[in-house]
Amino acid sequence: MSKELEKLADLVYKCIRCGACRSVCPTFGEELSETVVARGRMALVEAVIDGRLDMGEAFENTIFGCAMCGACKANCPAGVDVPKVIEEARAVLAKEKGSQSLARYLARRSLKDKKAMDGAFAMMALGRAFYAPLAATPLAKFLPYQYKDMKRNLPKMPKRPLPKRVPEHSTVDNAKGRVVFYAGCVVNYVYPEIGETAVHVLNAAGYDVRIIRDELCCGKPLSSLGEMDAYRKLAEQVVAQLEVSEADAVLTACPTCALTLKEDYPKILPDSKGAAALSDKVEDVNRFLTKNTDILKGIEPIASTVTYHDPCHLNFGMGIKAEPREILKAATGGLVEMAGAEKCCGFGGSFSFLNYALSGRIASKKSGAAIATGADIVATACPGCMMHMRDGLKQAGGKQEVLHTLQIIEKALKK
Amino acid sequence: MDKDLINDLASILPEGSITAVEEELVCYGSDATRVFARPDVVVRPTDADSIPEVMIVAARHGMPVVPRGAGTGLSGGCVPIKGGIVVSTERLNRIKEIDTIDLVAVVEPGVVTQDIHEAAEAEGLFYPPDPASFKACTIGGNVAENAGGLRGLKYGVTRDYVLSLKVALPGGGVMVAGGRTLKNVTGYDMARLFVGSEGTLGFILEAALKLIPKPETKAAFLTAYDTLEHASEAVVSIVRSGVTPSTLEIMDRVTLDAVEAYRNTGNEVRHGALLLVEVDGSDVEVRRQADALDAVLGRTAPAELRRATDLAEQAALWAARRSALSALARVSPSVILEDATVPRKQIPAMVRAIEGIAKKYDLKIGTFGHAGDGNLHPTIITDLRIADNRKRVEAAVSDIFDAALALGGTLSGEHGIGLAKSSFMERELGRSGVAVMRAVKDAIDPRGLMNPGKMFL
Ligand SMILES: Cc1cc2nc3c(=O)[nH]c(=O)nc-3n(C[C@H](O)[C@H](O)[C@H](O)COP(=O)(O)OP(=O)(O)OC[C@H]3O[C@@H](n4cnc5c(N)ncnc54)[C@H](O)[C@@H]3O)c2cc1C
Repeated sequence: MSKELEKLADLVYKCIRCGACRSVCPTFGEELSETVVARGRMALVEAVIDGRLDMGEAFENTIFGCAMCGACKANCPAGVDVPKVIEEARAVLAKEKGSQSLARYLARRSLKDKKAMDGAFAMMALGRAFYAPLAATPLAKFLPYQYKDMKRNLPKMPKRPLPKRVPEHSTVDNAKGRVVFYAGCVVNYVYPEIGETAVHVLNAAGYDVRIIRDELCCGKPLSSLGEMDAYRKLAEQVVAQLEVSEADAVLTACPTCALTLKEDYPKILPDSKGAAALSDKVEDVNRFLTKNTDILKGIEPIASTVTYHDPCHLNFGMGIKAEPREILKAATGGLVEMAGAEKCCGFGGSFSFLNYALSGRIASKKSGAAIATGADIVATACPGCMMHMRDGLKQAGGKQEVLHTLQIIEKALKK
Repeated sequence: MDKDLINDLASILPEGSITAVEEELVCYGSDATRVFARPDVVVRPTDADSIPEVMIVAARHGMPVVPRGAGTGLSGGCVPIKGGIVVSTERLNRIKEIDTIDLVAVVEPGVVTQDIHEAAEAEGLFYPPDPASFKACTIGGNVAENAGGLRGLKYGVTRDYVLSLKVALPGGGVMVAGGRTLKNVTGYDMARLFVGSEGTLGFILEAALKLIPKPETKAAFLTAYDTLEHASEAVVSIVRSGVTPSTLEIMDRVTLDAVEAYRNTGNEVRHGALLLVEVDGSDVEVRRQADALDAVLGRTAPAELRRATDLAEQAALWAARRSALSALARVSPSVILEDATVPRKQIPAMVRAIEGIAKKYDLKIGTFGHAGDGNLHPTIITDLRIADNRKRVEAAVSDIFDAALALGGTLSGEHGIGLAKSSFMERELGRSGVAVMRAVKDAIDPRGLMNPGKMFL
């Protein structure tokens, strides 16, 4: 039995096993097994705490097989903080059993500082260019795991990340205020065009925008792999980087980054005034644009119709549902809701790399729902979801374009 | 673990349907009572027809068979208290047919109740039974527990919608109880025997369910009272008035506070108790009933009386009510929910009795439930990890049963006897009552392999 897990006893004991999570858990929806639903995971952690179960391989698999979407927590009347239990359990597994050592090593090394990050993402780009053609051949099984899944369509990585595309400060005349745009790794390195769009749209809304040239990762990949010490260290650095007191707000286009900065940091750095101050300033860009600016008055709707996928960390994590829809209704030829818009797309960051087969099946269902709407565009507000939905749609034979809500605003801006 | 048993099961079931991995055994050993017992093996068939074969293997090995739906039961029904084979129906989740002329739904046992609602409603039809757990629980579990729900007052309970059941019997036989026609008097009413049998007689492989036309519209009222007793007296007035609400739910202050803590709507809980009342039917009917109800409710001297403005608000009210049990766990980690049910006119007396019992044993009790059916759910909120609490809870539960029986009621309205209430059976049924049930059990399952240790067994 693990002493470390014992501190979770009160958290897991709150689960009364009512099974409400069964109707919302994406992994359960696919596997229909009690071991891969929040209730089962809580029962397993409790059994380990009570000394009825050892932390064996199946335990590791179920704990690392959670997409961390937070649907269970948002729908738990008893208020069990499942993602927290899972995260802590992963940390214990990492420490005591050395779980996921390769993934953790890679994450620790590549997210250490800006130079390491630049290097790691450049390697990934190279890797993709080199491996992608092999992925469809029998040689695939020898590839590193992120390329092994032959079917997966990973994005082409751009040559120049965001800081090489936009200036540190993008200002406008008679600015209404100043904001920092925290891009996050996926926007920085994979979809820098979303960052460019963010700057453009925020400028159009009348705000000076600053990006952080040597921006660091928010650390979520570390915490979801149970690398809590490295995570905390990184979080402290990010807080220091973003201590830009002159900014009215720190905005993100990635809900996972927003949730991490806003909700997680104050918890893991309880004594840090900087973390608390940052938490107050962090805001999702959709909410900021709809609540604080008149941007929607300055647009002319595009003709295309659109359907919307709720990113889990935006919806379940921060309760932001209405704002992206408000944007889409104003900026497009019509919003057609898909069935189960709030269901996870199956990305879940490291989840999709460690469990691609399952994550792909979740995406395939989601893609089906998106296709069935007949809308021209699939919009979402998370670069991770975009990556996964593009893959899912392509495999499901969908022709729709997947865009970030910001990109749709940009298309609709009056010239 | 018995290698032969696993091998025999493996010879009849596809790969991936049998497991004896410790992690799985932990996950399939309890339900919403939190009572845990370790199964010997868990079987998750993908084809209902393989279940009779599982029964044959079980009989050969003298192994108990414990049916399991979603494990949302509140009486320990699917807990394998004597070990054995837990057979989970999770993957038997196909709706085979919705017949819009015969008004019948044919479903596999693992279909989630909500999916039946949706499939019926897509055809303009209605499957009324709606246990508060309907998003998770299965029809197999509903039939086996004769589940009720929020719409019981007007529409009845699961029993009233079961036309026929295909059942695997201990030893491997298969029978069809009942039939697809509304009228059917060929022999004993066997379908009713299996309804509420808690998995102790046979394994439900398929159910044909009666559907009815979907009511056109509905209207909902919310009334607040200063005390639970006052609210319970209002229930009697409503029922006496001749209006038959489709739903008539009650919640006390303790429950309301917990629900608000979960839903966080920002509405301050100001009153001692709340009634949620809904009428449904055709447009004209609803208008007439709503007016009548409005008048009746007005005369019950509520502290507040409000009509829900739209369907979205109504849905939010029901969602709030359905979260009651789980939300109470926010107050303290152990929730022991009782299900004692009394004739409707005795509800005020039962409420007084519960309040007396809470005082006597110094326990916090949150009471909510299907007041229109006389079905209250007094829920003791405590921490069972502390031994002294356990004792007081047991004594209080026993008193609650006595109070209900003294008022002409029953131990359980809808959650079943399972493990927790077995020792009280004789109090309600008498010796001969139990003896007849035992004779029925012996006739169908002479070796006692179906879900042993439950009810009176
Ligand atoms: C939050 C919450 C709210 C609830 N609200 C209500 C309510 O309003 N009304 C109500 O009546 N109940 C309610 N319940 C109790 C529970 O949901 C019901 O008893 C439900 O019918 C159980 O279904 P299940 O699929 O979870 O069955 P399980 O818990 O898995 O099993 C229940 C019993 O059915 C037997 N069984 C299951 N499948 C089969 C089968 N195919 N053949 C034979 N036997 C079988 C099992 O052996 C066991 O004895 C609630 C529970 C919770 C947690």
